[in-house]
Amino acid sequence: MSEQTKKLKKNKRNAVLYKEMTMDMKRPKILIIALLINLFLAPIGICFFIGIVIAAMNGSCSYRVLAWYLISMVYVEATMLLFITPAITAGSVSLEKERQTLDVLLTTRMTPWEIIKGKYGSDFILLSFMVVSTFPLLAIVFIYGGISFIQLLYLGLVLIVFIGFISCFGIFFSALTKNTILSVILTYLTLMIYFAFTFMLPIILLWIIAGINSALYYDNDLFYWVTTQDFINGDFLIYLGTFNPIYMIFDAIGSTIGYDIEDVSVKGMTSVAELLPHMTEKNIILKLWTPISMIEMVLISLGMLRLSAVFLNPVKGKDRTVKKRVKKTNTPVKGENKANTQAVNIDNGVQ
Amino acid sequence: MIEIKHLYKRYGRFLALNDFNLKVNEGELFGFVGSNGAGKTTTMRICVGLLKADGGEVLIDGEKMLRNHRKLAEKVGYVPDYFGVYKSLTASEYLHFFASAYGIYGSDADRLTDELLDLVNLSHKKDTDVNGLSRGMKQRLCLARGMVHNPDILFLDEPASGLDPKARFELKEILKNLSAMGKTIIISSHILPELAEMCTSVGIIDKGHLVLQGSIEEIHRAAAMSSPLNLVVNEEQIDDVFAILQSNPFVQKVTARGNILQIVFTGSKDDEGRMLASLIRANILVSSFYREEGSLESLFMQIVGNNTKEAAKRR
Repeated sequence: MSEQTKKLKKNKRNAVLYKEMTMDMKRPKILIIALLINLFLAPIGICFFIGIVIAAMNGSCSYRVLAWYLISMVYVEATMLLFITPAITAGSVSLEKERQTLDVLLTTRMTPWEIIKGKYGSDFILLSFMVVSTFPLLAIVFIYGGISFIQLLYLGLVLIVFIGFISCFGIFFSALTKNTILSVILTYLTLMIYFAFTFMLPIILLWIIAGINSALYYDNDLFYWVTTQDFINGDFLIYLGTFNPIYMIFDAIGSTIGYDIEDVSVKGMTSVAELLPHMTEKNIILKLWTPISMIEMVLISLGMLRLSAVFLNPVKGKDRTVKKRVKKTNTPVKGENKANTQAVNIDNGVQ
Repeated sequence: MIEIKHLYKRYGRFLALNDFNLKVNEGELFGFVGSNGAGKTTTMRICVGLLKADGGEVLIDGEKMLRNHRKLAEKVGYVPDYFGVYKSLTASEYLHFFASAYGIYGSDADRLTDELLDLVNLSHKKDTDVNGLSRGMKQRLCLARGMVHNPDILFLDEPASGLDPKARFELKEILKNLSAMGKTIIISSHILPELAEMCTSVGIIDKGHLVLQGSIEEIHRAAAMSSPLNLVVNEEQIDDVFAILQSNPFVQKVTARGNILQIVFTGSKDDEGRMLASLIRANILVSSFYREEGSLESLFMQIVGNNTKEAAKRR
């Protein structure tokens, strides 16, 4: 072997990411999933398109119709990604364990963190490709206008953060368990609990405070929701909702397109301020709900990925002092005899 | 150089390694023999940083494996007892992947891949999917993978397991070549004769404890000594012979078949001579005194068997 290879260079690229991408490109999986998503979304697009054409011919088409088309497409796509993402990511590391290739990888110069980054990166690129592949369908709205290209990109970015966040759950359980099926089940289950919990928690807490206020000030109306500024202020609890991806998508769409139904106009989470007596539409957190939510999700994702790397490390934990451990382990377990044989360096026969 | 000191490892209630000590010098082709569950794989996994020991330490060139795992990973290559291959990659892509895991890319990786495939006689399978390779070829490819970063030390866990005789022969030749290149190779197997053909030294592990270690010549000598001594005497003097043999501390067991006595003797050649001299001094008519040709298998079975009996006695 050439001497050149002996002087090892520092890793310039992530080998796992490169390998995963090579393998993904060889398999039809990536194209089949993209095709299925688009086949599912396309009929919705076609229906809207035909409806708009007919309405335009009758001279009564409103650009709001297309806005609702985009809203429904984003929600349908987000729901599909919510189900597809765990299926793709939850087997990422556990499949390496099942194939028995992880051990070999761990003996290389790559750290568990690099392996996790490679695995996450490849899944993230694959799923981002799915999102980007649906852009032409979303871009139908440009026929009539009413939404800018930047706004569409912004929604795309929100969806990408959304898949990035969900992917972490898959990677985490994949690193934690040895079995892909178990990993998939745990990922779906945890996501379900997380979504429901972070969605309901602010509502329930605000309801409880409203209940207390009602009991204190409105004896006859225990469940009165809207309180006045004189009452106990629990409005800040709504911020807990920033951890929920559903609120994030709701706000992202509301702040870009807006949910207009006849005379009612809902502009994302800022419109919630109307229900909260201590808050106004000028509240900076409500205004920046989606960016804050995205930052939180990126941070949670990083934390989960870091934790996954810890689980993947076969020699995690501190190197304890040898003597201490030897003493402890040396004590035989009940019913087990410590071997008292000694290794023999043979020069005059077997012991 | 590899030095293993007082290694302990427990899986639940099962003590896999029990005060395991081993020293392998640079350039040795060391055979690591033991029956299934003796602790070979556990030792190897600890040595390559895939498992944490409960006690003890592994030193590679004087540095602790656990503390300098990343650094020492470049000195150590590991081929486990399973293939661990990506079926949708070609042999060349597979080696390229592991080369990039060590920071070797581009033309360097191309050249390295070609060299390694040539080393393991797989150049003609360069563009074949790993899935399409035979068991022996996969094993050779795994060996090439273990060599991708040109390590000084190679750990091979039962590499010949499940291979046909031709594949075994090819593997042996490759290992001999690697040894000639100055690599330190630790190879495990549960078949002692198989390792004796290619190793320079051998260690026998039983119940997580190293019970025998020596050069291959010493092992062969020990094997020769492991078979019983045959003593042919006058039939009328049998009782006297028994009395003399009973007083010898190296005599473990004596069985008589007519005037031929089979003696399980654990002493050295000199002890044998002293025993014969004591028989002659007692006027025993010895017409023949010889040791049957011993085999490595009988040696292994004797060592492992003795340990099992001792353990049973203690219980």
